[in-house]
Amino acid sequence: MTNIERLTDAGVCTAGQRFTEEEKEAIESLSHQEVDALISSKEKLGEDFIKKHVPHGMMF
Amino acid sequence: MVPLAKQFTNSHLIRTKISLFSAGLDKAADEFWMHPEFGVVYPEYLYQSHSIIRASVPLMQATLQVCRSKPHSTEPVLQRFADYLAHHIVEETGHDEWILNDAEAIGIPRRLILERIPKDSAKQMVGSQYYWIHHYHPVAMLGYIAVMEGTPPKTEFIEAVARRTRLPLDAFSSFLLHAKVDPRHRADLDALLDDLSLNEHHHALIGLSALETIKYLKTVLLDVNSSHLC
Repeated sequence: MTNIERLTDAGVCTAGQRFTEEEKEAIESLSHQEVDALISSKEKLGEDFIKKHVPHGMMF
Repeated sequence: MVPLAKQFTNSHLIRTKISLFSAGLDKAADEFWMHPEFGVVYPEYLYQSHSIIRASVPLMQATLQVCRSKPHSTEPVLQRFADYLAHHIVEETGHDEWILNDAEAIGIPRRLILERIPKDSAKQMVGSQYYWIHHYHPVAMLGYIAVMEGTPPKTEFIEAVARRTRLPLDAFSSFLLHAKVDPRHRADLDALLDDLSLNEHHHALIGLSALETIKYLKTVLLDVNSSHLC
């Protein structure tokens, strides 16, 4: 089972969600622990906001 | 362990992961900047930001010390990281004072920020790094730094926020100063990452640390965004 399939089954990715080839490769390079952490955090991967420059401001 | 992405440099892979993980944080940040009661939530933001930023230099000092001590003092990756930290600690010293200056610019005494008890989210965010550093492996701290310095503000963005919210530009000095220095800091960190011989385990630790940092930052911003309701 690929990481994208695991994340899709867990609802972190939406079925059929489009990722760039780079993003796909990065997702497939995630370790099991990273995928588990993503699933437990209930974060959604992707969405339009990743295209925007939004400074979170909590700087060093 | 899954093989590393072949086409990426270390920095590219870590930045791509952070981009993928950050959708929720970016949404919370966007809602913060566009908050209809920005003038009410901004003081809370300054307090929470200060709680985190005052820990930056001590956290890096702790990391440096652990990198140069046994059993890590023979690991080439950590010795190169330690050299970077020795330089970066000097660059980051005093940045918590910038936040206090911003608070003063909107009439909040420095003492109030310094004396207010920090929230759990700030303690958890910084405290989790102490755990990684002291009890597992200090390379994880690279994920924290990559997130914290990964999205430097732009001067024109901050100037637009000041105009829109009618707050004095002096209340945003920390952002304006970071807008000048953080692009170079990000480039320095990326150069360091690309210079390190990171293995798959290192990458997994950096990714987990980055993911945790993003999760805590999002919690902080969601808390700030609802502070006007208190």
